[in-house]
Amino acid sequence: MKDVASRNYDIRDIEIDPRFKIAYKEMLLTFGVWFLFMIVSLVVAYTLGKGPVDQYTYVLGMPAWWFGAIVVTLFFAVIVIYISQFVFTDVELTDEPTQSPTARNRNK
Amino acid sequence: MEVPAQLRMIIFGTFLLYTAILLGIGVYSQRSMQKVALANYVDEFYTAGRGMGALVVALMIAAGLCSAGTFLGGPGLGYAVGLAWALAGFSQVFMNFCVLGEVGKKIGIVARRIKAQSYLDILVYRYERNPVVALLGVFSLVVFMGAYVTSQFVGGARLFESMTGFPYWLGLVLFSVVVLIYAAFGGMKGVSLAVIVQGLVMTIAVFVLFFAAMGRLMPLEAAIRKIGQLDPKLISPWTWKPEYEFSMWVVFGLVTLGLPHGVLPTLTYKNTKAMRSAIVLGTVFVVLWTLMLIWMGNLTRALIPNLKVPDHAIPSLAMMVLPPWLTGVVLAGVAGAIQSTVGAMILVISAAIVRDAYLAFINPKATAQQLKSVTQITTVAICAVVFLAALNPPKALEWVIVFAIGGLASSYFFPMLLGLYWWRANEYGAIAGMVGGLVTYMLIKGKILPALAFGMDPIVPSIVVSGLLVVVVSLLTPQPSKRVVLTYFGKGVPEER
Repeated sequence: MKDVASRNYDIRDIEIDPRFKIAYKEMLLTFGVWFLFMIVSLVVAYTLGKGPVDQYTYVLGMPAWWFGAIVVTLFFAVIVIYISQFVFTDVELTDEPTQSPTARNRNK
Repeated sequence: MEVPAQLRMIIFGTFLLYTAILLGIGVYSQRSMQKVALANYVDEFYTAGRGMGALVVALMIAAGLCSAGTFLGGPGLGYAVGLAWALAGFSQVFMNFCVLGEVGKKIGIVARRIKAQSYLDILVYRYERNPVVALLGVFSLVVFMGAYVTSQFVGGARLFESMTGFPYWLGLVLFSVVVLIYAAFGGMKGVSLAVIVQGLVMTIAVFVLFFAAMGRLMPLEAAIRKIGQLDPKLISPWTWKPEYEFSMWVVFGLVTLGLPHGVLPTLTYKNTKAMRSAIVLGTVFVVLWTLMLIWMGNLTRALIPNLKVPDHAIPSLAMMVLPPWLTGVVLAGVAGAIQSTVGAMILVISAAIVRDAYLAFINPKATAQQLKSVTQITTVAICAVVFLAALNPPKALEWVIVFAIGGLASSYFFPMLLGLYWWRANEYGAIAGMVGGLVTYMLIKGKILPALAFGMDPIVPSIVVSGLLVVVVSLLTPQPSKRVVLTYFGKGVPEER
């Protein structure tokens, strides 16, 4: 039988819960999207924001770089909403009483 | 700020109305908790039975993390430093996505397995219930969050005093007693109900202020050029070097997992569908609040060029462009932001003391009745201590605050993230990471070793140190127990299901 307090088992013998595999991938996706958001925002802001301030181009009443940063944010907001509705999956949060818990991929 | 007497009464009146509504919620939630079966009391108190829907979860995260910083301090810096700071504010807008997407699902499953009632529960169980981890956790939460809560009340009471003319202690009472009632007696139920009202008021306040201010500022380009003429640094991103800007993005956008009150809602959501909807709702709220408020802080410069206290930017703007009763709504919005954060923090502190100190070490065989009493007494006591400290803020408070949020984030971020996703992380690594992160942060922020910062906010080197320590020390010591790995990575421990 299993001795659960043991610290001498082989990790390869442990069966990973499929829901955790999903959680792991979604975690990577989330960080990835956030990093991308950060990089794009900083690149847009610092590129369009170059040069003397009194020579800034204005778009819709604001400096081009600021307008760009807002557009980037709104764009990524759409991406985030899309991911949460169409990429993230739903899983049962409770453990099933009998066999192994399975992840059900259903986008409700 | 110069506020004419008539204005003051009306502002006060609106604010009083808002407070009365919250009091009603406090009474209602307290009665609701009275009816809860003894055996379920603690669970209901801290996680409200894990049945929260999308709107509440979204607002708990959004309003929990957005506090006086988003309403006063942030815009204040937009006013004083410029749009470079405002740009950094954008990093926080996806907090709901980050928290729920990064750990929402994992914690949702694990929390139900181990019946976790707090952020610290998740951390402590993962690290073999090691007493050092638990005590480090409880200590840092009580000290840093306690200090943060106190300073938020001090800030709110001071603002109340300048906007209404009424004495500081009255503002403190109105700000804090209400929170005490619904948090201490209503627990998570009280806090989550209140957050709906607060989220609503915050949103109305932000919208109303933004459109009124824009109306006054038109044409926009002329107003921004005017700010640029006051000081070109105010409207250029290059005011901050890119690496410094990057580090601010890390502070406000990356390390959210290290802030227990922001992660708390992952213990309470009903199912993953609600979780995904919470991402959508939360994103809408935070994008709008952040964008509008921080930008307005900067834009205020065009209307009020010489404010002595930058934190007064939003309130001064409100008084300038809104009728008095709407200014009262803005004050209520600020109060809402503060109270929602404080409410969540009080629950985090209380849960840490009751579950990870009392139940874990002092009285593991506590009966349901004892737990109920201890929960109530602890939460009330926290509120009382905070109130007294805010009434007469000790000098030490300022000192602790400087390290509070950054210190918490630097110590918890990697131990939590690696604990959840890297099976090999163990309690020795966690202790090293928690201590290492915090010490590094304090050394740099306390100006003892400022060079370690490399021109960035101290959080960056601190989490790097923390992360490295977790990894290296874990690898040098025994792997975690089978129980922990089965619970956090496998299919659970059979006899414990």
